[in-house]
Amino acid sequence: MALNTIVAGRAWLYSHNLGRNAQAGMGFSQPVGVVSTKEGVLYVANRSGEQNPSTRISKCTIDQEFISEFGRKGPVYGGNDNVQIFTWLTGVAVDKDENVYGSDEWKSQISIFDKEGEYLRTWGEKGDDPGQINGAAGICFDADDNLWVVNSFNSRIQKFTKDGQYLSGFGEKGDLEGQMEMPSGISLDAEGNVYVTDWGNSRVQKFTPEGQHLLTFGHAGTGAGSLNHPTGVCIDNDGDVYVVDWMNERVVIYDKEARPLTYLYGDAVDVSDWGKMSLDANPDMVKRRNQVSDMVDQQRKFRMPMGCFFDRDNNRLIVADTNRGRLQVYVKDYNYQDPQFNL
Amino acid sequence: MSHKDDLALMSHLMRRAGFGASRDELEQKVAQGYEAVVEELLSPPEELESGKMALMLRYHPSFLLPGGNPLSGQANWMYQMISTQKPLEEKIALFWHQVFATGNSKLDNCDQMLEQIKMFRQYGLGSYKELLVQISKNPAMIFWLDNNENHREAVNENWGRELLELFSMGVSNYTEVDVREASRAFTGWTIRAKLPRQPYGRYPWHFEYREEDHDDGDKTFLGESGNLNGEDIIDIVVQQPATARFICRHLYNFFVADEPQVPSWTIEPARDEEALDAMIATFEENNYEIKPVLRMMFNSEFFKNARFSKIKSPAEVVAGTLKMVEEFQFPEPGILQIGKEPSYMGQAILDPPSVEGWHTGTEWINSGSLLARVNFVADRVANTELPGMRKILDLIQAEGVKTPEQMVDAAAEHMGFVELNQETRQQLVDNAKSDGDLDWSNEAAAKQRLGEIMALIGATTEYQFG
Repeated sequence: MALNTIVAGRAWLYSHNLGRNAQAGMGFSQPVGVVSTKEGVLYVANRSGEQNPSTRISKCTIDQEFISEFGRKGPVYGGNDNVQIFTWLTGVAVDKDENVYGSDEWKSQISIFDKEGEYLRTWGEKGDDPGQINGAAGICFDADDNLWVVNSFNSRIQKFTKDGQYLSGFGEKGDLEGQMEMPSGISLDAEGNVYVTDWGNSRVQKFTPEGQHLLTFGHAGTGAGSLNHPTGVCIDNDGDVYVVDWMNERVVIYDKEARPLTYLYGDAVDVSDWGKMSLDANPDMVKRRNQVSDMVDQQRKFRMPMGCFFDRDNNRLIVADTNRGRLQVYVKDYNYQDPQFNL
Repeated sequence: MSHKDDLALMSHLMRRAGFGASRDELEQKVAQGYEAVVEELLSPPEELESGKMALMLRYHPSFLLPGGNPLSGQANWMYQMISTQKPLEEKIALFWHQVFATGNSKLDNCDQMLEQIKMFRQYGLGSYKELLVQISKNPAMIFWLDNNENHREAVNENWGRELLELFSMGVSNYTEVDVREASRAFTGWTIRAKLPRQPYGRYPWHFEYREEDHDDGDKTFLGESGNLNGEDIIDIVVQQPATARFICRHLYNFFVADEPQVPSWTIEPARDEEALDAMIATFEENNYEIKPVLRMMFNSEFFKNARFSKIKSPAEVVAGTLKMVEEFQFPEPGILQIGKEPSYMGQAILDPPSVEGWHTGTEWINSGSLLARVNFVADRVANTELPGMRKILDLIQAEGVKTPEQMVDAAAEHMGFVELNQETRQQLVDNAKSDGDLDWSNEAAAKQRLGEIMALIGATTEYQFG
């Protein structure tokens, strides 16, 4: 592992991490998805757990400023205020008006908030017919501001208007080319092609917007270019593809031809600003940290990460390091000058 | 034997070596043959999944590192019990959890408890000697029994004592000097410092041997002298006749039939000395490997004849019922509850009451725990919409069951070939008679009646035995 990952004319530089394990406020609870605006405002989907439920969307900046959190409870479908909105909050996306969309994989619903976190509405009817949703997992917007939704339980990909009107869909269960098994994450490239993490088949598939299979990335395993239940996927301006290789605890980077380029295993050598607050308030934690001989090696690694987002305006990769309650941020550097090798 | 006798015997095997099996599975296994099934339980094909870990963690990522939260850890393990395709691997882990009882109450770290259970899955059917080495190096055990406080200049005897008293030979087979010498041999066996829980959650512990903290002076343990280290102590312990008897009696108690409680083993004879002797001989002849003992045991007449001669542990009640009704085959919301159900019946898995583990047999039953057992089973078998119940009721319908006698017999059969005594059966039949024969023209009502009969069977004394 290295802070600067250099390969094939590309450079990814570890920038920083943000977050800490926390049930509220300045911290995350099993962050599974993240999205960024071009101004560097982040919305983080916190799955949390059943024992201390704190499912919510956190709003903060890439510079570690906490802004707010929302989505814990609301008047879903016009009901009373005390209803928990999400059961299995999975994906998060932002439209051109900066309204925030969260998907619920159990309820098969999409809930929408304005950028201040005010609950707006929920749509989604559970089922297998076109326009119905069965397991709303990863979500993302296309250039026309339509929402693409992964349906994990029936292995379908569907496109909706922002208001939930069904536009198109494709996909079926299976392990053949073009088929999927409990797909999870989704992202679109600059041409509108659709990339889906085929979780159960341990691969990523690329489709045209109409659903024609174009390419397959990876295969089941632990070796070069292989994947073990991938969850998140995103694409940068060059068409390089980032896949969160969940059970191998890494991010695999492929080129646009599906050739593996390199891997990120986590580089959080630093403590985040919010993390420092925890340490400042708990001197025994600092004492204990200072007794750990391989502190940095332990701290830096991803722990079963699930989500990722590439901020194409700022060339930033953001990885949701789920079981460490933090995000790790990398910058793709186009001006990197490699130093003399034999320094 | 009739085909039903074969099914009943297979049901017994699958209850003891696992957590039960559906009728379809039983039919398939009977066709496979009893001894072949025993072999498959002992050495399952590699391609079979231990448990649906990936599925569970996808939807419950907090179950990976539950930290001090026992409920998430307990749900994690219970889900492995009901979703595993290698049932004996999970059952032997439950067995060793009972013997090498380690608890979250002190650890405040369910991650490490789950790591210990994983170790039991990996080593539990292999060499007992290797298992003792592994448990001696297990961070949860080291912290539980203070071996991280066992130093060259300040010996702590907690681990050394329990190794001899509860994990190998049993009381009366060693002296206080042996405890002291064994403890000295394990000085320096400790845990490496790990990152604390803040700010990024739990990090794993790892075993560390600190040579500079190890007492390398001469020691005399059970008559053998030298510069003994922990492995030497284990070598000596394993070869003691008392150890073979102690471990085999534990195996008999867990898999075959209820024995008296462990503390009375020095004064109470074994329930079946002949069977115990055969197990001990197999253990010793096979270099203290667990698998050959289980093979001999499962294929023995004393095992086959021991149906319903042990009271099901709470974990067995919960896992067996969930498997039967096929609830939570998918890790749906609400799964947290399944981990704590055994606690209501007196067995908080991952958190035994002490290093002695749980008292078993009749001590599983008291007025509170019995009510919890009965209610848990009744709530599920009376729910005719659960997938496993739908299958059972469809089978009973297909069998043409109609009269009250047929209803009771069919219900008992599909709940694991429960052997009701005559009086119990008659009471159930009399109860069923109050509503007459089954009327399948109203299918939902007929199935509801059967579910209610099954709930009543779940409340019988007989059903508490497995």
